[in-house]
This record gives sequence, structure tokens and C-alpha cells, in this order.
Amino acid sequence: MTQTAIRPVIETRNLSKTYDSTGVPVHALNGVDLVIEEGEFTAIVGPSGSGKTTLLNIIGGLDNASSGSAHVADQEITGMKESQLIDFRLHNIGFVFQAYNLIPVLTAKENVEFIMLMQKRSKSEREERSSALLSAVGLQDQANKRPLQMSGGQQQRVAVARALASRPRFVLADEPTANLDSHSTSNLLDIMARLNKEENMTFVFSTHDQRVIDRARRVITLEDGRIVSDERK
Amino acid sequence: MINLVLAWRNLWRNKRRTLITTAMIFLAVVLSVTMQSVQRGIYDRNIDNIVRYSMGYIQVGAAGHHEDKTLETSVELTDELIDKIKSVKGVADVLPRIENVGLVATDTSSKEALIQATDPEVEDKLTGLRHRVISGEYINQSDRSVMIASGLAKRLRLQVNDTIIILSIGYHGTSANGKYPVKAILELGSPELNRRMIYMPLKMAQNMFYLGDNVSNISVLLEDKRRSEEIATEIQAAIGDEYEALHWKQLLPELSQMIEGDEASGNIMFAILYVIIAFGVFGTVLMMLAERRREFGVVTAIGMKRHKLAVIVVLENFITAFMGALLGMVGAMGPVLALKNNPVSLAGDMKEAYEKLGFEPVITADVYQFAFVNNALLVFFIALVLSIYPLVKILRIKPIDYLRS
Ligand SMILES: Nc1ncnc2c1ncn2[C@@H]1O[C@H](COP(=O)(O)OP(=O)(O)OP(=O)(O)O)[C@@H](O)[C@H]1O
Ligand SMILES: [Mg+2]
Repeated sequence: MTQTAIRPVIETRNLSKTYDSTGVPVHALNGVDLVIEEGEFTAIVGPSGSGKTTLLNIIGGLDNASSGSAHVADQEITGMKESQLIDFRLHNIGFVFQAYNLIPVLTAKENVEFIMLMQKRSKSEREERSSALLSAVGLQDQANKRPLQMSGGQQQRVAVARALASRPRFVLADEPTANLDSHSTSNLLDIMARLNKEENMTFVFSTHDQRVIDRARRVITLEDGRIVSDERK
Repeated sequence: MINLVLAWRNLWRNKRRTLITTAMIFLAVVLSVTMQSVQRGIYDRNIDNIVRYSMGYIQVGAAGHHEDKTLETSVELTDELIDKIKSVKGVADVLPRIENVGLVATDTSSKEALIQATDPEVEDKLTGLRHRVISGEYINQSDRSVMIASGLAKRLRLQVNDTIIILSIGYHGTSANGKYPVKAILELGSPELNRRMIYMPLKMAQNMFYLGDNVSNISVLLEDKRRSEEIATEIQAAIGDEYEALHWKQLLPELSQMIEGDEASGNIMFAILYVIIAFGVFGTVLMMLAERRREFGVVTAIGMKRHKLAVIVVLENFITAFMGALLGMVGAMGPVLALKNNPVSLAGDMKEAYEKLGFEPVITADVYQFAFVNNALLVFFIALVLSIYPLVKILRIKPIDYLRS
């Protein structure tokens, strides 16, 4: 009898990263072994400088590891060239950054459609999906506003809608709530949790915020570039 | 399409900067197109003054006539020769001329003069000489009278209906003298010619100088005077080496060299102007790149190809260049047309300075297409050069470097 194993979306082995830019080597990651399955809702936590951003950047194909391997969305990405990585990111990963995620001269709807345009999706699909996603994040009536006309929380919700628009394998969010007040924070988490549940979208996010940590279903703690705990709730 | 939309909207993100950049380009284009059109207008007017009223844009004569401008190198005016010249495309008409020097005398004084004789009707068609009459009446071919330029008239204190004596040398050294009434006084554009010219009918001059059917040379009237060089070559081929067909740059090398030198120094001035503008615009390009660092990081991180981003930024440069150049060309039309239709006469020091150069003291302009096209192309070229740096920068973006602030 064959057993169809659930393939992990992210699998790193002995991942290490050393920054050498200042002359003094900084070991940001020291042998990280991490497996994230489809549908997880995972928080990466740890003190400042523990390597959260470095880890997310490598998983997201934004930075190269110094050693070890990163198997992401069925591809080995360590050693890919930037031009390959751009395409990889476009089709496999939804990004939400801490702030200023959006193209300032495009409206909310255009921002969401833009990524689908880069994926060469049809106009009808772009319009349908961007409307649906803006509704899903509760911004259907802000569709024609530009980022500067929206609050920070609204902008982050648009960023989440955009991240999902490309139908990625998972969403990476490095401190998505760091610039938000508590109301907007819980609102954004509600939306992320709902999309995780309803669309089975995998989320990996880093945070310092205890209220955000409380909402995660798996919490991975980093210290000095090592995983020191990995709890599932 | 989205590229154009993005580029356009990006431009208006910082309205003031875009307006200032556009205004700088606008000013440079207006200034240089206007100046170059004025330069061209003044040259053309003065070339016209000198060339058209004295020799024509192309002159056909016996071989060697230009070297030795006496009546000894005169040419027999045959129908065959006229037909050959007229057979060349671009030739509108021909005007046989007699040119000689002589002494013009009144009871009290005498001055050296340039004598020119043509068919007054054809001459008028070619040069509009009739409109130069300021007093008296334009001569006709059967008259036995002369017209005299106002500068010369003044120097000899002559008025219409006064009588002058012309003392000169005719064909083969014969002495050629005559006494003629002044039928008209002319105001010529070229100060030099205005001091010395005297006009008479061709037939009268042929008799006076014992020339028979000969003339000094034949001026060729062109449909487009800017093609004088190539048409001169074609005429030469048609008439053979017995004759010579010279264009005005060969007839007046000093004038043509002076104009070229003047244009060259003008071009250096405009080159400096454009370099200054280019540096200014480059500064705004650098500012733009710095301001949008984070945005470039985000869009390339989420998967935008770098060359697509580069296309947008280059488009922004070109749209700005296009707006500046277009507005500049439209803006230059104003002063250029105004000066073309209403030439301004100079007075005082400026007037003297112009006259010293042998130029008519008038500021005018021509709609100089070359200047319009050239300046627009130059602006696009600058936009192209200024796009290289952002292009290289963007094609090398590593998003992670751009995301860190
Ligand atoms: N480009 C870099 N050059 C040199 N050192 C770096 C660079 N980026 C990060 N580091 C170092 O690597 C270590 C991990 O940094 P990282 O940004 O991953 O931490 P973090 O957990 O995200 O911190 P924070 O919570 O403050 O965002 C830190 O010591 C940091 O100083
Ligand atoms: Mg971080």
C-alpha cells in the first residue's frame, strides 16, 4: 500500500548564514533544521538579532544561505541566480513586509491586480480575484484609494490581499504588525487566520508581539540563530 | 500599457520636480531653437542681400571668369547655353548680367561704383528690386537711364533726374563713357552694396561696353536656394568645361566661412547650456532613485522583473524629455514667427556693429526646421544618456539590499 506523504512546503537542513560585510563575521543562523507543512499557521519568534529576518529571507529566496539547503515549494533554492529567484518568488511566495508594501501610485485594487498582471493572468481573472480578495480583507469600499489615503492597518490588509492574489504556496510576513496599533493588529490576524482556515493558505510570520504569538498554532523560537523551541498548539 | 500608466503617475508623484525638470528642458529648447532660427534668419537675409542682388546663388560664366572678373572673360549669350542651364531640374529661371567697375561723376565729385546691368523685369522677378526704389521710377529694358543705390547717391549728393557721367573700360580695353539721367534711387539691404551699386538695362550696357551679345555671367534662379551646391554640380555637367557654374559658397568663400564659424561658436554655447541642463536633470534622477529605493526593493522582491522596472523608469525620463521638447518647440514658434513676420531694425551701437560686419542691421528669424528637429533629438539623446545610470542600477537590484533601510 502506498502512502501519500504530505510534502512539506518548506524544508531546511542545517541552514547557516554568516554575514561578513563588516569584517567581523556575524553568525546569523547556525544550522537551522525546519519543516513546515501545508496549511500551517506558524510564528517565528525570538529576541532582536536572533535571526528571524535572515531565516525568512532565505526561505523566501531573497537571500542566499552560507551553507545548508533550503527546499521550498518543491524546488531547491540554494544556489539559484537572482533572475531565477525573481520568477520563483513571483509564482510561489506571497510577501507581506513590515510597512510600505504597496506601489504608491496604484490604487488598492491595482496593487492587488499588479502581481497577477506580472503573472500574465487574464483581465477577467484579475478583476474577479482582486475584488474577492479585497472583500475578504474587508476593503471592498477602499478599492480605488491609493496607499497614502489609507491607514497603516488598511495598507497591510491590502498587502495580504496582494500576497494571496498570486496564488502562492505560502505567505511570508516579516513582522507584519510591527507598525500597527492593537486594534489593527488583531484585525489583520483575524483576516490571516481566516484565510488560513478557509483557503488552507500557509502562513509563516515573525513577530515580537505576544498577542500575535498567542494567535499562532505553531511557535518556533530562535535564539542566536538556532531553534530553541518548537511548540504546536 | 501598465508601464505607461505607472510611468505617468510616477512623474506626477513629485509634481514640482517634474515641472522644474520639464521647465528646464523647455527653456533650453526655446532658447536654442529661437537663437538658431534667428541666426539662420539673419544669415539667410544677408546671404540673400549679397548673393541675390549681386550674383545669384549660382553663377554661370566662361571658364575662368570668377578668377578674372573683367569683361575679357565675358560669355556669349546663346539660346543653346540658356537651354542647357534650364534643362537642369531645380532651375527656375536665368538672368544674364553685365558687371563692371567704373567711376561715377557729377559736376563736383566722383566715386568708384559697381555697375550692374540686367533685364530690369527679370531682375525684379528674381530679387524684387522694384520694391527697393525709394524715389523715382524703376527702369525698363529700353530706357537709357540708370538707378543708383542710396548710399552712393548720398555720397555724390544725387537726386532723381540729376545726370551722371560714367567713366569705364569696355570690351578689349575700349574706353566706355556715357552721360545718363538718374531715374530712381534704391535702398539696398547690404550696406556694402548700398554704398556702391548702380543699375542699368542690359542692352544699354552691351552698347556702352561694346559687348555685342556677350554678358559677364548668367545668374541662375533656383526653386530651392538651399540646394545650390548640388544644382551647381549638375549645371556644370550639363554645360561642359568651356563654362563654369559656381555656387555662392565658392563665389563668396569669406562669407560662407564666417557663417560657419559663427554657427560653430553658437553651437558651443548651446552645448554648454545643454550640459548644464543635463547635470540638473541628472540630479533629479539621483534623487528619484534614492527616494524610491524601498519601493524598488518591494516590487522586485514580490517578483517584478528588473528589466520591466527599468523600462518604467526610462519611460519616465523619456516622457519628461518629450514634454519639455514638445513644449519648447511650440514655445519657440512664438518668437520665431514674430521675428520672421516683423523683423526688428536695430539702432545705435548694435546697428553700427552689424554694418561693420557688412550685415543689414535687422533682426529676423526663419522657421529653421533643422534647429527644431535637432534640438528635439538632442533632448532625447540626453534623456537616453541620463537613462544609462538608473538602468544599470535597476538591472542590478538585489531586493534585500533595497528593503533594508
Ligand atoms: N546585512 C547584514 N550584514 C551584517 N550583519 C547582519 C546583516 N543582516 C543581519 N545581520 C545580523 O544578523 C543577525 C540576525 O539579524 P536578523 O535581522 O535576522 O535578526 P531579527 O531576529 O530579524 O531581529 P529583529 O527582531 O531586530 O528584526 C543580527 O546580529 C544582525 O545584526
Ligand atoms: Mg527582523
